[in-house]
Amino acid sequence: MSRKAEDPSHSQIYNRIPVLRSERGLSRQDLAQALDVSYQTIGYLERGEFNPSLLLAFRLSEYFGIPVEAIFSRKPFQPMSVELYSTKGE
Amino acid sequence: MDTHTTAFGIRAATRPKRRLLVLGLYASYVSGCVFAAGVRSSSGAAFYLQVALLGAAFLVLSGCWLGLATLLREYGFPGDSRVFASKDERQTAVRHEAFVRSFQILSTIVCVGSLCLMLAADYGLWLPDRGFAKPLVFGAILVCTSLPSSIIAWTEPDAPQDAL
Repeated sequence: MSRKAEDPSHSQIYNRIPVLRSERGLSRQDLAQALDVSYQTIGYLERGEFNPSLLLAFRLSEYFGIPVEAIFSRKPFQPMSVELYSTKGE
Repeated sequence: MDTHTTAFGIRAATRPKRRLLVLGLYASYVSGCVFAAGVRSSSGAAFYLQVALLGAAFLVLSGCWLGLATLLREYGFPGDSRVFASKDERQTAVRHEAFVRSFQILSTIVCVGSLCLMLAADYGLWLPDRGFAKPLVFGAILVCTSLPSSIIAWTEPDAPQDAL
């Protein structure tokens, strides 16, 4: 884990929006329309250049049907394939 | 992606074009002040030339001001096809930051200007007369109404072509 992620004052929030979006075959425009935001805002969120409000985070959670903590984290995410199928440490 | 443009073409305007709009606004104000001073001091053909240049500066200024006002208030941000897109929280955050920066700039101008006027009055230095008062008031109105839009137009990056 990086030092940045351990620092409590570090404001970066990591997310899985690109993965979730591509899994569902959605364009940024589709997701933006569903959430009533600009497609550029989705781009900024995906790149971690803009941290969403709680309201938008919950709307994303409701839209994808998964908990907020599965979408956003203060620590970098492992790739989903590693989290699901990793054989290391067994 | 919806890329249709507004009457001013502002929504699809690239950052260099938006920066040109900001420069046009303030440059036309300065040149308007110069031409207005020329109108007061000249006579004959030079008078009509100065009036024509003053009119042209006013037209450029009005166009730039309307364009910037449209960018911020009526049609949302560049690349965003929605009208009145103020619910978007990133755009709202950018607007708030622009207003905060505008307040900092304006308060600095007012404080420094007041201090200079006070010192000039105390020490008998040059003070603006009636001829300068009108352009100063007009400039203050212009800066107050256009500064947040100008900051956004100047700093906001171009709309990326990554809607898909």
